[in-house]
Amino acid sequence: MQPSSGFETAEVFKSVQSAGHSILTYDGSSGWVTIGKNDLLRPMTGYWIYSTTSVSIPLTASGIPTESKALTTGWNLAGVSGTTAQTAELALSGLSSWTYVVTYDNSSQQYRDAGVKGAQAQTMLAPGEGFWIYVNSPESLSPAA
Amino acid sequence: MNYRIGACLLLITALVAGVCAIPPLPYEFYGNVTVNDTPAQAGVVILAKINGTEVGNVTAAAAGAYGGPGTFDRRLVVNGGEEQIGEYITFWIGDMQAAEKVKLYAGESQKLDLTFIPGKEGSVDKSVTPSQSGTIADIPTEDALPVPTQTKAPLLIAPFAAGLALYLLGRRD
Repeated sequence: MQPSSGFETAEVFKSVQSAGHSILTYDGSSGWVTIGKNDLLRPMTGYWIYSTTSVSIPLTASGIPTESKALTTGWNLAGVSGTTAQTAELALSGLSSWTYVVTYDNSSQQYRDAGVKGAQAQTMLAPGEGFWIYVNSPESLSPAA
Repeated sequence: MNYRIGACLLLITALVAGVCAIPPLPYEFYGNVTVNDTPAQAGVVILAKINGTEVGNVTAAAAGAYGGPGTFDRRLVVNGGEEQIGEYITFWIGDMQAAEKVKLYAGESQKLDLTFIPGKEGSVDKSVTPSQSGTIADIPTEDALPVPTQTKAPLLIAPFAAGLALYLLGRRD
């Protein structure tokens, strides 16, 4: 979803006790990117946030994202739009070259088993939960209607 | 002389491109910095290196300190590869090396006071016990992947080549 007015920048996370960890995202070309408090939050983009305590951050979003998410060859940190969880096969059906998706279980602080395209075991992708995706060629992840 | 040439089949196996590991989370540092027991000047650039290659840098915003513990403070962010996990990070101002060195782990943040004193380079190990091992993903190897397409196709040239060779051998008899 598209962040609503007042929820567009990383400042919404200012109350997080991060124990000296930055908010991060990943750019396939330049690697890890440190997020400043005035940086815009981009839909369908994954962000890493370290918190010493369980915390709820109210976010308001409205409408589908206005832009697609560009994916570069290799690993990308992405997210899906929409309001319901979907299997990776369905949510990523518009991509031709993805091979892996990996999600993170924040309760166990571990990555879940990697989802492999074409495998019997299905990985679920939920709105609001970032994931790693590996693509073999540049692609564009379009927002769900 | 009778020769039988069996049918040849070629199993064409789809090759799966090699996949690198998920990039490990960076290691972040902040703290005080002194040169010959004097606070380093504001604006000085501190470099982090692994095996002589720069893996991150930060500019000291104030005299005697770099970065800070706040979420949005600029820290020394070290981006190392998975293959560098466990190797030592060293810290530099120009060609001066700090006394402290730290092993690279993924996803850590550490208050690290840096001291630059001639003769003490790399002599103090400030490595921590890694706490973020769950941020290293286990990606299936190529052998464990499903093969997208597997096709059996007759190899046409092999029977002809084998037949020709046997024909020539037969004529020599």
